Amino acid sequence: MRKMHRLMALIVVLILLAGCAQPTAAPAAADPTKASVPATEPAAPIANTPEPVLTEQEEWLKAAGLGDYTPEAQDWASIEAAAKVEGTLVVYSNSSRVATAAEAFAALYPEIKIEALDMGGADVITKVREEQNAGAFTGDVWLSAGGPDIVGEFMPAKYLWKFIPDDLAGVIPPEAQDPIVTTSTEIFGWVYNTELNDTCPIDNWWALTDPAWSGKIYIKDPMNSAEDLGMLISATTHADELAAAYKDYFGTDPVLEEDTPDAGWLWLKKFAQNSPVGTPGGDETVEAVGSLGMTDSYIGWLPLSKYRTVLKGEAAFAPCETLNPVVGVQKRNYVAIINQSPHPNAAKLFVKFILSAEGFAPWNQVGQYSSIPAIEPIADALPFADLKVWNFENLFVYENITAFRDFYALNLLSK
Amino acid sequence: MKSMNPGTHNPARQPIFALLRRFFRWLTTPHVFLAILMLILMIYLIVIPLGRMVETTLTVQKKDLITLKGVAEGDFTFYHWTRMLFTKISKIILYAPLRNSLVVSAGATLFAFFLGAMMAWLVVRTDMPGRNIINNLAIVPYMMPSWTIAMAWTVLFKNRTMGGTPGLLEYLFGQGPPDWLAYGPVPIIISSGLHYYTFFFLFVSTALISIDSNLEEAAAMMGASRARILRRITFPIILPAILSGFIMTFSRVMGTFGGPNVLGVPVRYYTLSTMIRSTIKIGDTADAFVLAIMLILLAMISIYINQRAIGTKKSFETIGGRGLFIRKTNLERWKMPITGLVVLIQFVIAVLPLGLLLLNTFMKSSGEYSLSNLTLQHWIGMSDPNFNDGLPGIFRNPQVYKAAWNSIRLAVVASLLTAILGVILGYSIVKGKNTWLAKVIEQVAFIPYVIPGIAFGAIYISMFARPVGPIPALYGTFALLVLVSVAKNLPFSSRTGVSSMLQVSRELEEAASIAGANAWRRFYRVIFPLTSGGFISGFLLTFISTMRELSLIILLVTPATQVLSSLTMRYTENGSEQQADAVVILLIALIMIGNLLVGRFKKGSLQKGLGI
Repeated sequence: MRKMHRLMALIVVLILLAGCAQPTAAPAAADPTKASVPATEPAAPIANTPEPVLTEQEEWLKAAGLGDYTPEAQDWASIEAAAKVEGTLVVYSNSSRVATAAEAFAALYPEIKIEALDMGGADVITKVREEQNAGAFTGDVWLSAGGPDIVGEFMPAKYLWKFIPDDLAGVIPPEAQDPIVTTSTEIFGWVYNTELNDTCPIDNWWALTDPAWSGKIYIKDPMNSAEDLGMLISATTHADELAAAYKDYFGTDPVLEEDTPDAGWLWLKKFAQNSPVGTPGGDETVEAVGSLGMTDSYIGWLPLSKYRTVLKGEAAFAPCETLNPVVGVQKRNYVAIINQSPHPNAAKLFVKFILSAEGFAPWNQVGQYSSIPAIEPIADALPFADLKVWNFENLFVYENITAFRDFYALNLLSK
Repeated sequence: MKSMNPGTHNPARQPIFALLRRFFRWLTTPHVFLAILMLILMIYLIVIPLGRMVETTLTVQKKDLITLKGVAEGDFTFYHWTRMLFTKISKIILYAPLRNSLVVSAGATLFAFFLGAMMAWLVVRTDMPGRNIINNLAIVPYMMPSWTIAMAWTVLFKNRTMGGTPGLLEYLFGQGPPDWLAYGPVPIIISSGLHYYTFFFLFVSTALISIDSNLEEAAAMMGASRARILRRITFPIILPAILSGFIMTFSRVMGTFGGPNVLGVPVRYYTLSTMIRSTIKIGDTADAFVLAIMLILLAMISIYINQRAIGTKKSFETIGGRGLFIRKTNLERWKMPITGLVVLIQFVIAVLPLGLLLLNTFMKSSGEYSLSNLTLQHWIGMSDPNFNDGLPGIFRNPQVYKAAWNSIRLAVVASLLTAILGVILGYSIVKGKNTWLAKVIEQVAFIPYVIPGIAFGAIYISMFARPVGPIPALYGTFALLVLVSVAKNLPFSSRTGVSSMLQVSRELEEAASIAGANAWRRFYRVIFPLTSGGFISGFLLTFISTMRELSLIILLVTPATQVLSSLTMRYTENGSEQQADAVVILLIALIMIGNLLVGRFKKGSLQKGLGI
């Protein structure tokens, strides 16, 4: 009983203490909100107008040898030595395969404790943004997609820093170095059921707007997936090619409407009005389009990495290789060092590793291709390596995604 | 209390001193003191984050600069509110989804009520066989990921709208079910109702246990019919519990994403929760917060109605000084049919999905039902490059052990704290009934329930990234996970705290008072023990939801604090579906063990508590 008494007293006292602490804490806690907004702003002007006194960020850049302080030549012996002193590394990634890569890295450098965190791509974006805003510099390496936010927000705000191992600077194609290094490209495209069809039942993007395919097109719901919506938006930037395809399909020039300034918008409008069926994810799209033993033919939009289910004999689908104008869209995954990372040398070591054949191995699969030409795709991936695709238009998507989401929703949902 | 000694002070002589004394007396009243403590705690954990959300909706965001000209980031603006509320997209993004959410939530709540209350009554108040098993199975649906029942539904009722191979019904009858049965509101209502009836079950059974059957017998002796007793005695007594269940289920379904995503999206039936998620995903956080605040407002309205309902209807204190006597109703000739029905329902919502999940973990490749396809690879297999990208079976994977330990640690610490806070909240709310303070803390305690988990997490990063006053920088620590879990789950424990506290008679406290016990002693020697049922319900609900929680903590976990639920996400994304299922089974097993241990620890009071 006395014990109980004491325990309760202790709890009450603790709560009391907490309670006493909070009134003073509460107003202070509100400060970072206000502080956090300007905190990001001074970073930009200060970096532009060099002053004798270095900012925290500049100190870090200088110590890490990044940004304006990038040395002429990289001294990998000293980077490795410094990395081992740092002893830890935190990687944020959109891919579960990062765990396999981290194991391989840990085997190479047992002195460095690597913590690879796999989140959804959207969560990587939010986490890094919040950490940077709050000044809680925790993550070291960005290994994720998020092109629109990288180009539109993170690079201008200096949340990420580009790092290329010097032996790769001449190897990685220029477009895969801007604004930060691309680790891999992933192809998304239109697919059909190969049990029911010898070739793709559609030959043109405008067939997707044909009432004959109404309710028979499956796509990870663009309303819920910024990535898939972004791909459709990227497609609309190719208005000329879509206009030419229109002429091939209908025999006339596209008839633009009031709310569709070009053939790209027109395609998206007609596509949304054709009742595409949103699925929770790629696996459901595979099930809808490519299950074994189906009787009806459908079209689906999928990352070609899902083709591994076909290789395993669990599904039957293939990309519409001859689709006019292209099969699909490719997106990029990036690697960069996060601003004011606590372990910049370990981060550099990891970037170098992830750009090696060994580091890329977990991602070397069908539908995914290293940005380094020397790293050969696996045999099963070769047939798709030369598919004609459009690029993911990062900046355009960043600037227009809200407008397009509204536009897509209006056409999808108002009948 | 403050009106007890009106004659002792003389306002003319020592007005300030007397006022101070009155204020001090008011402050040292246990329920007032506790209420103020809780209020301070909740201001920090809940109100400030909510304030941040509101602030975000009213300021120009970086992304808005693309559309808005002549403003700077951080400027004050009504842009997000007008955009969400009064433009041509409002109908599609806000109003239609809101209507759908209301329909689905109301339907699911009603359905869950009938199911939960019926089960609770059968378990607590009848002699139906197998009540122990039913009691244990009743919380299984709530433990499972919210999409499992929705998925099971599509297996059965899927039609050509969703492509692929025919569903079971179409396979059997050659004719697919109509769209209204396969997708949209009807299946969402049914699957959500089945998933969340646990709230009603737990609350109503806790309330039923505490009813002294003497009350009903007295009525029976005076000639009241069974229906009349139910209507006039039983029902009013358990009304607070029902209303708690109503609020919890209603708001939970409002905020749920899994079911609407699987069953609504294919037919373009969007709910507010789907739209919030969609808007967060495209990076329009401020717009998403406007929608989330609408959701919070709705929840506040429903609590207000609840407060009015309990306020006008008298609540009943059923735990008196006399012995408690629970009489079991003999079901007689209905015993077998009712038992059969309950067994069937539980089979469909608990045993079947769990069984399918379990079966899946024993299959080499999913969906192939042959004996040669059976394997223990996903459980105890060595690493094999042909399976799960070379991941070993979960019992050979040190990561799984580490994550499991983290999950358990987090869930136990968070639920213990939450449950204690819940009893204190319940006490201050009930004893201070109808005072502004009690009303405010009741409302505030409920807010986290409807704040989207991901928003909560994002705000906590910025709040706890740096040391503030005596509080150190908590970002990246285990403590922050505990803190956010406690805050998010306060609604559970405050509801259970309130409903159990409502039944404790004032006479007991008065008796203790006469016997010389001071307020604190009364609280922990009389009140606390008597509300242990509520304490345990609060503990269990928090325990379960913390074990399963993902979106709340995903932004706050670091590899060192990785938990089981994030492993399931990793495996699912990896395409290692069976591995993910194995982890879900492990999670459910851990929750069940936790449930049993709680019963054992309290000397079987959970079992006894639920009338078995």
